[in-house]
Order: sequence, then structure tokens, then C-alpha cells
Amino acid sequence: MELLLNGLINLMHWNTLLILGISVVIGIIIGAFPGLTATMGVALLLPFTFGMGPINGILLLIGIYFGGIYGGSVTAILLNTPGTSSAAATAIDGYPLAQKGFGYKALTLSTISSGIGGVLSVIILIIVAPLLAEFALRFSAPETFALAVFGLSIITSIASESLLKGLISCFIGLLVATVGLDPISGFPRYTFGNADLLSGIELVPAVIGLFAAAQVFLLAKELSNKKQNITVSVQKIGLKWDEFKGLIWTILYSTGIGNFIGTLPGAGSDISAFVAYNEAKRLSKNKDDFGKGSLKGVAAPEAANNATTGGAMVPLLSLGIPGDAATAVMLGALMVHGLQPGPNLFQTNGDIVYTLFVGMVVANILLLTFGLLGRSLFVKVLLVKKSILIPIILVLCVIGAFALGNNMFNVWVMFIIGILGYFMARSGFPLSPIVLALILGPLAETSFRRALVMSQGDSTIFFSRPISAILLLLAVITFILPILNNLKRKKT
Amino acid sequence: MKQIDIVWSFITIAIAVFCLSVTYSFPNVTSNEISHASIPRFYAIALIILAIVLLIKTLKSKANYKENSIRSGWKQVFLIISIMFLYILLIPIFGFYPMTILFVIGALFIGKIRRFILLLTIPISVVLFVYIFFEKILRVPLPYGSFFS
Repeated sequence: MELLLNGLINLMHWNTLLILGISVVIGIIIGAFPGLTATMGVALLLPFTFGMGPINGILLLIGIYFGGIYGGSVTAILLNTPGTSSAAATAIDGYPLAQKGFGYKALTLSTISSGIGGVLSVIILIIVAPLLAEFALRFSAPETFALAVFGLSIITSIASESLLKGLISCFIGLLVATVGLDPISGFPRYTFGNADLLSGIELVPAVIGLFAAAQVFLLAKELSNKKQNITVSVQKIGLKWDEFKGLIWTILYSTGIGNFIGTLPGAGSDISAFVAYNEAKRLSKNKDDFGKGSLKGVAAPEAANNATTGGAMVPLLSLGIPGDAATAVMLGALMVHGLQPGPNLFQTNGDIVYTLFVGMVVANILLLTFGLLGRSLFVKVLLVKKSILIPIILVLCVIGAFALGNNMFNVWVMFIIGILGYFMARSGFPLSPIVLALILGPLAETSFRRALVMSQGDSTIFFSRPISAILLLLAVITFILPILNNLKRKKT
Repeated sequence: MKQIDIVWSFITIAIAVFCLSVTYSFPNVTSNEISHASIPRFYAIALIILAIVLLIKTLKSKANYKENSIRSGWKQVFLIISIMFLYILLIPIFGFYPMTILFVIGALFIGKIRRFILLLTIPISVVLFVYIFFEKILRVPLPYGSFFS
């Protein structure tokens, strides 16, 4: 408690608070642009921190990180073009809500869910960091594989309208994810001699192509109709207290899901968002509302993806193992500033660590504040004519894809996948399973093969380890349940 | 959707068969049962099976589908995709900024924006914003093109 109070006192400098505020705003803007991820923002602004003290420097990156994860939801809801892959789950219900004229409400809900998820995850971080880190250490290749399979099993829930097409989308994504150097043997697969393909199809250009470019091409088909050129009417209807009360439980367990998944190295906010979405749908009495503008469909992924940020800091600070890509960059930043993450960090630099904890809570509060203040501005995007929005979004898609590796190859990948995504969407194939497959496919394959190496080819390793067995059982249940519900509905 | 589903089934089968055949050109790794070819093969075979199921389901289905909604608005989509293709193709030659101005003007024209003031201000605003935010603040270097370098 004393350390926390000292942390609060250390934080109360005008320059520290200013840096935190500005970094959250920049993070929100970065996160909102398709292709500019929170990780990229953290990496791009890392050099700015070299001249700062450790507290200001790390808090700047934390502000970008937290703001970036939230920012993706803004464009996901308003334009169905998630700024970050973790907002892809938010778009499923957020965009239909905006189309019905409730964009303001959806933004309010996503902001509040993100703020609550973020604050609670930092509180959990402070209380249970050592315990969670120890549990996360028990995750080895079989558990990681089981988690990836569990993540993929969500597809039946997302693609409940057409399960067969959803599975086809998923396997297309899984096959695309095998392009590049084999993770175990290093053999180049499906590269056809092209050096650019050795690192595989990058996730960021693929997500920009599928969600941003494909969505813009879908918008373009409406340009012939003058009436359809105008977007939607915007009703400034906020979130009612009764509506919020009904979502509290969803936000709380989604926060738990996000926080837990965040502690697992390699499992980021994109996975937690989809898992939380699936759980919200599974536990809901009104499953049919999902995909058509369900408030729970917005609250769950947003609470989870921001809760992942706190969870990802757990293994980073306690063990020196980054929880996701953004914290991997932050690991470098911590070391540059003379902080060696690991079990001794709390002893050697306890005052700095607790100042960072308090800073994280303040960052989430600022995110909540700026998000709520900015809603009215964000929602004005919906009033812009589609013919003006289309070229602007496409230019941002090109920049976003290019910025990743400073090469035009990723831009071409984005373009081709965008065209593929357009035709798939027009033909009724859901695109979210492709993204899930691109994220989880490599993780599943690598951990599956590593697990078999560990067990010398014995596949019972996945069932003999309790965590892995439980996750695989959950995966089977998650996969089968929506199918059974669908069959039941068709019979009645 | 019926016709489209049949087309997609065949396209998917063709792609999956191609991917499967490529895996047989991967060198064998005898020491490990799960080789670099195993997982792509599994995915390709699963895709073939799913595509065949979709094909059978579509052919057997008696439901009345809304045919060919994919053709509506095709002209605008084709034009936008075409100018985007040219835009990406010519960026390495003429640079990002000149091509962005031309692309935005072209896309606005396709979107039936004809007012000169909009055709002038929107592309310039976009380019200015990109230059200040991306190049100056975020330090993302954008290509200047071989023509001007």
C-alpha cells in the first residue's frame, strides 16, 4: 500500500501526466487507422523515450499501447474496418449497431467496456502478478496448442449463419498461414522462389485487406446509387443505465478472460477478444441477436482486449517474458532505461514499478475520458459521403500495409487479399474465420509439432496434461454446441 | 447464391488440389512423422472435402436463391479496383504523394464528385495530413519514387 501511495505521488508531476495524456490520444488515433497497430505505435515511438527518464518513457509507451488497443474499435464500429485485429470481433456487432443509427451508443459502450476492462486488469496485475506468472509458466507446447484449437473452435459461433462457408474460410486462412519458412525445419513452403514470401503472409496487411480494403470495395458498389451515397443518420443516443446494468456481468467475465489470456506469452488481445465474444454469445439467452447489433457483442470483446494489456504486463514484469508483441517492444524499452524485468524487479526498482502500475490505471481512466469526449467527433465520420471516405480509407490501407516493412510487397498482399475478401464477402463467406486462422494457425502448428517432439511422437501428451485436456474438451464443446443449437432451431 | 456457391466450390477444390500437389514436391523428412508437408496436406484435404460437401449441398438444395447479386454495382467496384491497381503499381515509379493526389481525384470522380473545389481540396488535405502525421510525427518514410530520386 505504501509503495502504491509513493507511486501515486511520483506520478503527480505535470510533465508525466501530460506525456501520459498525449500518448493515450496518439495511441487512440494510431489504433483507429487500419494497419497502424498498437505494436507499431509502440515501436515507432520507442526512440522518443531514450531522452526521457524511465517513468516518463515507459508511461509514454503504455499510453500508446492502451490507447491503440481501444482505438481500433472506433473504425470497427463506424466503418466495419477494424483499426487493429483485436477489434475485428467488435466489428461483428458494433458495425450493425452503427448502421441502425446507434453508433454513438456503440462507441459509448466500447469506451466504457475498454476503460473498465483496462482498470480492472491493472488492479488484478497488482494483486496477483506473481501467482499468475507462475501459472503461465506451466503453459508449454501442448497447452499452447490446445489454446489455439480452442480459439479456432469459436468459428462455429462466428459463422453460425453458414457453418460450411465459415469452415472453408477458416481452412483457407490456415493454408495461407503455412506460406513461408516452416517454423520447425526452416523449409520454405509455397514461396515459389520469392524471397518476400519467406516470412509468410504478414497478418497486418492481410487484416487490412480483408476488413478495410474489402469493406471499401463493398461500399464502392453502392456508389451508383445516389441515395446510398449518404451513410447513416446518427442518433445521439447514449447508453442507458438499465442497458449498462445488464452488461456488467459480461464486462466482468470478459475482463477475466482477457486478463488470463494476456498472461500467456504469444496470446494477444485478438485471441482474447474472440474468445470473450464467443463466451458472451454462448452464455446469452438471445444468441440470435449476435451479429445483428447485440450490445454484449460489443462489450465483451472490448473489455477483453483492453484487459489483455494488463495481463500481458504480468509475465513481462514478473518473468521478463513478453505477453504479446507490444510488450516485447516494451521489454526493450525497460532494458534501455536500466530496468531488468524479472522476479527481482519488484525488489530492486519497486518504486518505479508501482509508479508504472498507478500510471496504467490513470492511462485507462484517461482513455475512458478521451473516448467519451471524442464520441461526438468520431461519430461524425458516418455523415461523410461514401465517395469521399472510399479514397481516404484506401490511401490509409496502402500506408498501413507499407509501414509494416517499408516495402510494396505487403501493399500488394493487402490489395490481392482485399479483392479475395470482397468476392468472398459478396458470396456469403464470413471473413473473421480467416483472420482467426491467420493468427492461430502458426501458433497451433508450431506448438503441435513441438509437443510431439517433447513426447517423442506420442499424441496422448495432449490428453495426459490436465490444462491441455480441459482446453481441448472446451474446444469440442464450443465447436459442437452452436451446431446442435442450429439443428434444434431448424427442427422447431 | 447457388451459381456462386458452385463456382466457389470448384475454385476451392482447384486451389486445394494445387496446394496438395505442391506439398509432394517438398523433400521428405524421414526422422519425424509430422513433417513440413503434413500440416498443409491436412488443410488442403480438409478444404477439398468441405468444398465437395458445399457443392453437393448446393446441387441438392431446392431453395430459391437470389441469383447473382454479385453483379450489382460491379462497374464502380471494377473501376475502383482498377485505379487502385494502377496507384500501387506506379507508386514505386512516381512516388507516393503525386500518385496519391491522382488516385484520390480519380476515386472521387468515380464516386461522382464533380465539384472542382472538392476535387482540389480533398486530395491536397489527404496528402498534407499524411505528410505531417505519418512522415513527420510517426517517421514512417513513404516512397518518393525512382522517377524523382
